[in-house]
Amino acid sequence: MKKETLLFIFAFIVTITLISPETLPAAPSYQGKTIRIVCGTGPGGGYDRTARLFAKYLPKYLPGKPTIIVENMEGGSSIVAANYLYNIAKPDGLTIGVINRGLPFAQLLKTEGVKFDLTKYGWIGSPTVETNVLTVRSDTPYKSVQDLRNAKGPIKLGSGGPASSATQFPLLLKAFAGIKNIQMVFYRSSREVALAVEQREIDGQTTGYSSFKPQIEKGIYRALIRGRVSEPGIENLPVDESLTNDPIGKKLMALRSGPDRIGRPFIVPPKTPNDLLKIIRDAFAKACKDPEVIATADKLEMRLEYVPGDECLAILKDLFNQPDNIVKEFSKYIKF
Amino acid sequence: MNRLVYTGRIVICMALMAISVTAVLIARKWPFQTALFPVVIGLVIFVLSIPTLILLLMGKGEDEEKQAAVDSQLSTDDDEADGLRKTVIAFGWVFGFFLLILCLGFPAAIIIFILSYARFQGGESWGLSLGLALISWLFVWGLFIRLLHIPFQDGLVQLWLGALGVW
Amino acid sequence: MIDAMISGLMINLQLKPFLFMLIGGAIGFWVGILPGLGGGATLALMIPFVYKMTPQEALPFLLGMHSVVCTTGDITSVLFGIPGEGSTVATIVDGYPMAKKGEAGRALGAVLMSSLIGALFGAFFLAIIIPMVRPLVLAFASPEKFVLILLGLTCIATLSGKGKLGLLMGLLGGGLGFLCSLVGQDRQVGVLRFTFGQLYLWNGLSMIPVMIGFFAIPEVIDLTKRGKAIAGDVSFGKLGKGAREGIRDTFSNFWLTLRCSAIGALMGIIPGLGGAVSQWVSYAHAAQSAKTDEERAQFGKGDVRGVIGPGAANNSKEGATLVPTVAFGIPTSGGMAMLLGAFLILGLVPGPDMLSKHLALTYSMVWTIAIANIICVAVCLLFIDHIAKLTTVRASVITPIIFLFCYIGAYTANNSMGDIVVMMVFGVIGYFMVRSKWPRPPFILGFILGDLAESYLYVSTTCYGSAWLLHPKVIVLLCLTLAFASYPYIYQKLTKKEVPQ
Repeated sequence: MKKETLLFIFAFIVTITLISPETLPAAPSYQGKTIRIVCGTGPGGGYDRTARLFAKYLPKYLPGKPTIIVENMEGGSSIVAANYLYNIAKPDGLTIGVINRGLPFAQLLKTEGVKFDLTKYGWIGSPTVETNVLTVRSDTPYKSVQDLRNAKGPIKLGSGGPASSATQFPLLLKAFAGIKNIQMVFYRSSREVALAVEQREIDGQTTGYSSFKPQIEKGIYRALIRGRVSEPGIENLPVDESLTNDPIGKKLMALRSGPDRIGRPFIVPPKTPNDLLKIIRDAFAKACKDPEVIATADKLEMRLEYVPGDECLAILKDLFNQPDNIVKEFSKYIKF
Repeated sequence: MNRLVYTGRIVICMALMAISVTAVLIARKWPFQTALFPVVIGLVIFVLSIPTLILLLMGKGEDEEKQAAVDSQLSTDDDEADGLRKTVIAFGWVFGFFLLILCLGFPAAIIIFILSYARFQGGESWGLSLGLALISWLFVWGLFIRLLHIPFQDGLVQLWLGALGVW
Repeated sequence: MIDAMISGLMINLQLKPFLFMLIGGAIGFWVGILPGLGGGATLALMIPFVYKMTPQEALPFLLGMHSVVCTTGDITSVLFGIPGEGSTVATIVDGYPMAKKGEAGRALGAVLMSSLIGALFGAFFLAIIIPMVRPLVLAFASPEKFVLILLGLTCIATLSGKGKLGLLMGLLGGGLGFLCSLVGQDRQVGVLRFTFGQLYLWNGLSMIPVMIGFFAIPEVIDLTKRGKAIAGDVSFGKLGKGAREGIRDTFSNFWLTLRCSAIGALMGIIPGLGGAVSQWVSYAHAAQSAKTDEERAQFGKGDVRGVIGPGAANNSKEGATLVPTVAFGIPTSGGMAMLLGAFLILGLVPGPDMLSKHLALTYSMVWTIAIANIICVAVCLLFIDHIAKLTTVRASVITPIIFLFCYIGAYTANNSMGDIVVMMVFGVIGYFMVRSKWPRPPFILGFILGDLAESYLYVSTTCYGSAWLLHPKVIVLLCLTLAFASYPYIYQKLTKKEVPQ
């Protein structure tokens, strides 16, 4: 054979070898790996259910189809989990966190024990939004906002605690929307609140729309006011911000409803490589559109709406950039 | 009444007085609804502990057989000095296990604790102690770590090694 | 209703549901026996399988596991003095001393038989009240719940010693328990109470590490000091009274068993009260049933009635705690919350539908509780005398294992090292109290009921002012509380026995 031909064949073989799959930079794969979703609450609650839902369906959309397990790391209303994800967990794409949507307020109000900065996590996003709807039992005399304003006796609203949005939402209405007779009654859990409403011990509560859609549709509950974040079915309700003329009131209500878009915050530790974050984000977005996932979520009283990580980050940055006087006003009504 | 029981009760009573006073002092700065129960209960404890202390100091123990409260008993020490030594050693094992877990994490701590306890406290042979330790470790690893995915935190040693880049 | 009952039974007797119930029961057997395996966490593992099952298969699977946990949890309480579950703590107080006397077989026989009777009672009770369960639960609002908690709190006095000093020590213990229950974030304003800067304490002191520390650690210390097997000098394998004796005991105290089952069932129905309370109230009632003071003083030292009472109550509450979950969607524990999630996945919405459209399924749940417990108890009784021999294993081998169970059991409560610290702190306190003969059960009652009492009192006064004191049901319950508290005095007067002091 001629020298040139030999040389050509030799060069061809070398080239093929150099660009074979083993030497190309491989796309990240989760083959054979396990991802942990660290859930900041105990087993059984809404956050845990969301985490387990995605633990089941997310692997389908991740390269290598890893196993996903859920670990519960309760404590400090998920501050413990958030601290762990910020300071200890490795940014290797194998740890995801789901934390309490109220944590932005913890950071804003400089709550003790907070050892994280929410804006520095890698934000996957949120698969649901949180709506807040003030509902009353339909046999109460309150049929409209004006009825609430004209109430002669106390309007007893239940809530799971002072740090819950079920408390913050009505308290802002009481301070700025002229519904002065609101009286908060604190129970041990939101389910107990629902029972108390049925027992006629209290008149109503502020709740997410999805959890009480059946009762509202059947006419057992009456929805009266909603927060800024809406979902199909409650678009026509008056928004809390529109019920006040006080600019500070409007501002505080807007601030309170900011994190409502981030219904179930899913994050990864800071400094997680961007390509891994993108893979997880894409997987989430696709899972939220999967009909099977939507059907299961529907059974679990969840309505899926994917809020991208960048949008979540923007909301948080806006919240944390408020001037001090606003934060001070805010802290009168918002507790963590 | 047994001297130990007598002293123990007086110590507990005085500790309760101290705790209740501290609780009330801490609680009085809180808002009314938050402070109500801690203050009331604290005051009740303090007020009740005074006649208790008096009754105890007067030596008015009850007739234990007839009037004893409902609770389990532990074995009494025949020789008080030796009993104290044994109690201290036993608590040493309790705190020691905790320190092992803190420093080395659960899995490693289990092996070392069970090995040392069986061998040094129990006087078993090395073979049996090691066997017991390994079986226990296997059980915990298989059930809690592999199957249930319970997160066991790294010990301090592993964290330091990790910071040094070795682990 | 009868049709639904029969349909429910037919569901359970089909091959697949029955098989799944057996598998669930087998899992539940180990979950109950091993401290550290909570019903909630294990249900979480079982739920992914449920996606592919029909409700008829899934419900026996999940409930077969959950309903058996309290039965076998009592086994660990008796044999090792370690509470595997929150609802099996009271069984330790008399069960473990029986084991130390070499009567583990008898104690186990008694606890298993009383658990079975309790489970059957609970299932039967659930079956009967299903038609009226909604009005029944709706009738118990916050004032009524508060008075029931008061009833529980009067047990503090019942479990204290007799005489001025005894009563004072009990009340002080109860008060301390009450204070400890207030640790954490307060529910009214959000202030952190007694947390001393520790994030771990925000949710308060967890029950399991406290119980393990309070009851199991002192025993572990004692075992280390004695250096003997749990059953003391009894030689390996040679235990005295066996399970048959225990079973006989249960039947000779049949009315007590039934009364304690009733206590468990009634308290279990009310959401918010929790099963932890009923075991102590029934223990107190069992102690009340002692006819003389000498007899009563034997409680805590190995009286079989102290085992039968809580054994029955913690099983009868199983059926009862299903009620709020099924009829209202209000879970009374982490495990029930998981179960609720499973219901939703299976397309079953808790509420009126479960009591009408899906009534047969609801009854199949009742049957599962009954059948799973019958099978579990039967299996246990076959092996129980052998299991009891564990109490004769020498200390150097068994004690480190018990240590391990305590630490794992405490840690897995919240997956936090804080739990182990709490366990050790209460271990020291518990040991000191026992050595000083200061009773511990009153502390436990104050601890379980303290913040519950606070919550319900605040809700009652916020919603009703002081008018709640005049609600008819409240008055009835207050009279019941008084009757319960004065039962021993009345009983003694009626039988013309001497009233002390």
